[in-house]
Amino acid sequence: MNFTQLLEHLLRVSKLTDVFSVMWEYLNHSGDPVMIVSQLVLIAFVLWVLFRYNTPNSKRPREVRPADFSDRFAQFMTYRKPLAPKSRQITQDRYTIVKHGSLNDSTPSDNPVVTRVKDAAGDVVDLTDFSTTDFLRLSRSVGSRQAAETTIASYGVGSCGPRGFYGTITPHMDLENHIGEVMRGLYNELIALCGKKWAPTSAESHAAIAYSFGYATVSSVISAFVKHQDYVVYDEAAPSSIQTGVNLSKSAHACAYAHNVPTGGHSSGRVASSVESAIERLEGAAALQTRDKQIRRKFIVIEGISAQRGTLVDLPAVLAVARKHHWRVLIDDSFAIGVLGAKGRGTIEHYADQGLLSDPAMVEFIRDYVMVTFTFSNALGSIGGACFGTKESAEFQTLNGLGYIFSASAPPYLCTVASHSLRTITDESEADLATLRENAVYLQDKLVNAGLPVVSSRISPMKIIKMAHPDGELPEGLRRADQRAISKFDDVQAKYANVCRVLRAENGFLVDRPAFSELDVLPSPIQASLRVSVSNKHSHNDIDRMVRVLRTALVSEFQG
Amino acid sequence: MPSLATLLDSERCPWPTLIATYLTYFLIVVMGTVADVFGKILAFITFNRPNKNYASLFSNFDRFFHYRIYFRGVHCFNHPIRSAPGAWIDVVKRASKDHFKTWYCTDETYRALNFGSYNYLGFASGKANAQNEAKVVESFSNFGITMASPRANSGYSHLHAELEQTMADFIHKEAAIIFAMGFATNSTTIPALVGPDGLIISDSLNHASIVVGGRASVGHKKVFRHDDMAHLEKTVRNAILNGMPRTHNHWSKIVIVVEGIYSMEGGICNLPEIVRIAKQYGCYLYVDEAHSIGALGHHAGGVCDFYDDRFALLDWADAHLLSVPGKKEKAWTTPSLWGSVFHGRQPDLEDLRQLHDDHVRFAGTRKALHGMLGPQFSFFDQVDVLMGTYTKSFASVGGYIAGSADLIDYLRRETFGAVSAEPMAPGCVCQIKSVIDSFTPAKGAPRESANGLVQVDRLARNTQIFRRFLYDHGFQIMGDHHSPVVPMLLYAPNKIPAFFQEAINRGIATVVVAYPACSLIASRVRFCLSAAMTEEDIAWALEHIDELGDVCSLKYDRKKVRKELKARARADAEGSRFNDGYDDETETAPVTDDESD
Repeated sequence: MNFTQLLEHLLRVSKLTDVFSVMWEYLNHSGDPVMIVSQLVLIAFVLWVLFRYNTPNSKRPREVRPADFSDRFAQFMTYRKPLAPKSRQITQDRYTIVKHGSLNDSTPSDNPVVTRVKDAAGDVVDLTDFSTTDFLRLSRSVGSRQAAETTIASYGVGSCGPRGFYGTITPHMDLENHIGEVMRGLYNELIALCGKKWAPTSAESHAAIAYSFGYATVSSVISAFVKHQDYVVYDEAAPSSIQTGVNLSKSAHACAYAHNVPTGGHSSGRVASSVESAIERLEGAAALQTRDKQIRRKFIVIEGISAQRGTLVDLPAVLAVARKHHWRVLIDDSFAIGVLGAKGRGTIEHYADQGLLSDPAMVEFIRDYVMVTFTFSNALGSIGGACFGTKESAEFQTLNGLGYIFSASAPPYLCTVASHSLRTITDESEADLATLRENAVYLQDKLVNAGLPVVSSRISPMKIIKMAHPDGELPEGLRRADQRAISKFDDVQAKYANVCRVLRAENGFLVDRPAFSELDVLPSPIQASLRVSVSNKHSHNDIDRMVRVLRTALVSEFQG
Repeated sequence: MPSLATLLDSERCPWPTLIATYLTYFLIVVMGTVADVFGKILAFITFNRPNKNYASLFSNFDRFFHYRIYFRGVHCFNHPIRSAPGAWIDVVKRASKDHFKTWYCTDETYRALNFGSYNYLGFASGKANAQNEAKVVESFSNFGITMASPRANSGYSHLHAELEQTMADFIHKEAAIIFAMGFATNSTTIPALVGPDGLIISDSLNHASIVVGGRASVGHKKVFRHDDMAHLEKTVRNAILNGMPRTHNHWSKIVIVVEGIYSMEGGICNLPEIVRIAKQYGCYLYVDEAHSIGALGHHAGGVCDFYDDRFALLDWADAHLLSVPGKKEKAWTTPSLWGSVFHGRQPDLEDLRQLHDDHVRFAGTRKALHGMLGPQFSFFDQVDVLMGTYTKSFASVGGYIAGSADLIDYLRRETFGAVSAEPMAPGCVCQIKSVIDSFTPAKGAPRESANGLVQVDRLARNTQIFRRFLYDHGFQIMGDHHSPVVPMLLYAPNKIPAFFQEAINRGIATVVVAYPACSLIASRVRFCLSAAMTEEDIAWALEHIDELGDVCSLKYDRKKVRKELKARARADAEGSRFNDGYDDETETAPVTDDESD
């Protein structure tokens, strides 16, 4: 026995005697015979487990022997499951789009709110479209199509490579510069409004970076900035893109805050309080657990308009909380860009217009610690996404953003279209944006007057309608729910699917419902609901008729 | 004499180069540290965070790597271009006022031959793609630019439905599903395949999207050494033997994930052996054909098509050998007997050598596969999930998953790429559909009438010329003979900017690859060949690369090749052109092996 072994042995003995003495004390004082006996049995068992293999003669190998391979293999083959897990038998809407109503056609489907659909039976019908989230119908505009055609003529369709390997073509750079310019313009307006003599932001201080896919944008951004040791707080009702980002970051300090927005109304600081409680919970837990003195990166991920609920976030309150606790803020403005603000520049502009972001400290915070991501797939009528922030953050993403480095860059024509739409929105569509918001409010009022429970905020052009039903909600998502709850939930979803079908087949309206996946990674609540999206091209007559039939269909489905 | 394949795959670095490489990295790190120390003293403002309450975005290591290592070669990376990524591109000349800390684009460009883009079949621009572009533009009169709704809602058009069917037929699968982004195809599908009791066994050099997919998945992950089939088999056996960690329950399923062509290595995966292992041990096989679809195979069907072809050739060779007993040397070495199997092309020495190498390499695998699957089988049926992207050969964007109808149905319902992400733009769908259509000649028409197949043949020709030349001239290149991705080893980090700058000055746009993307010593330059390049383009580029090889002293294999050339000249002089190289090898494994059963 060498010295080390001796030391180890001594240590073990001393620890064991400690344990025994403590136990003995405890048993002496307790005086309960059942307790004493059971504790002794337990101790005996523990000792038996510990010393079972220690005699040299009874040494048994822990691993299975190679000779067991055939047994194990047979067992594996018997219980092997098919590659495709058995999918739930949920009702799917089986229809395909045949034609979008366009602006410059002389056909009857001239109207941009009309979509021609082929249903499961093969019949082709023209429907009034309340489903697509192309709120300004820019994807169908003549300008977008011309921009696309010109770009295809000079740059081809695909980009044939990631951004680093000659996949950065002029349209990509133009788009990034353009987004940067637009958002810097907004920041400079904020700076001018707050009355301080700060230098305006410039291309050297703030920049945008474009991704090729909207879904991957926010998840790449989150997983680039948030690493295992970092902190992130996100909305419990966040869409799967944000959830994927949080999951990929593998952050040890991730926490969801309660969505906490009153149905159909304005949030008045309640979100901020739930954000704050989440932050305090995280920081409190971290202070207890780790002796890590280093400052970590901390992010609050919020959505301007929630993709799952259509609610508007109370940005000034959240920013105040973030500033108080020194957290950075990442705003996912996918549904707000091209919708909110006089020039369609999203949530920040929306609140700046109301004069709620004029505090210099707040403006400084936005300038330095806020990042804005958005996808082009809604109001911008293209595919892709972008992240705007400080130059440093953009540079960081060019080295760490998974969706930026490893993915092929977007087809140049999609970039041109996004850029064109952005220009149209910021420069020419003040009236269109006003119409869109007016339509959104009109639709909300109509729905509420019809007695339908709308979850979304008034200003959101996407409305979530959730009927009161006890099974229409799963508090922890599909993956964690039990089989009975899921089948009940699916029944409720089937009701909504039926409403959609009735509206399609009998009334000529295209509405849809959010779909959910059982692969959701984080325990976030989901609600079966119906979704109606309005554009600036819808007339009041369209909306009136739709609300009327929707009400009839919903009431007969849920109360009949 | 060692066979050509083993020579081509040799990555043996001469030891002076090895030492010099490590020394260079050592110096770079030392200099960087010194620069950091001085930087902290002299220019402390840039090192101080403006607000102590917020953590810096860059960690210390990130910062060091970024400013002290990456910045030394930053002018070699991320060059923007001002043209379509076709055969010839306009690479923007960049300039900087602060040593490339920031840069701006000048109006000048380099006109360069494009070896950087993955434009394998030349559909990125020009005449080859004109027809496809017309179809894309045509789609704009029926659809907007996008569907503006997820696939699960109103984002699914008849174009998408048609493409899914076409794609499934093209790669002989029951069904297919398309996604709008290649990266997301992997990263959203892999988590859908395995549950918490499943195991993913992945190649160590798989693309980041597969790694991300694994990370997002709740299943367990194991990695085997790149292209090491023995290690793969051992990993699979151990996994089955030991079961799940701690509980030792058996796995519910094991999925092996490999790539068709490894983009940084240029190698084609050893699919027959992988299929053999998967079949023998009841694992499922997932092949990522991001680079190989379109670029490999006689019908552009990717790595399965490629190996179907090779195996048909080997079967043919076997039948031929067995039919003329006693004359096997003659059968192997008489080119007139081979005419039809090489797709009408007269085989040359190289073809026969490769065939013979394959015969040796796959002898055991073929026997096992024929034993398990019968005399006739197609690799398309043996791979459970075929994944690929449309970015490369198809010059569009997005990806697909093809497999059994059950699997695709499941993915359509559950994977995030279908449920909540935006669907592929209709224009891109049309481009892909049009390219796939161009792979089938009209009924009864010759192969040359199909635009796509012409491009496939051109790519194969360019690949042969290019690889042959580089090999003959003593460059160390990696990967398989047939792979259109040709990485050439530079080793020393100081050669990266040297080679890149010299090449682009001469009009050759390449991609140089350094540490995080490959191993520390094996810095390389990568040439991606394209069907859009003419034979003159290739010849011109090779001439310059040859010169560059002398300038940067990249011809690491010089001696070996001299010997090889001498041997070949001698063999030619003796007149027995096709006997060369087979005299001593015909007695070994393959032929006798086949005769014995």
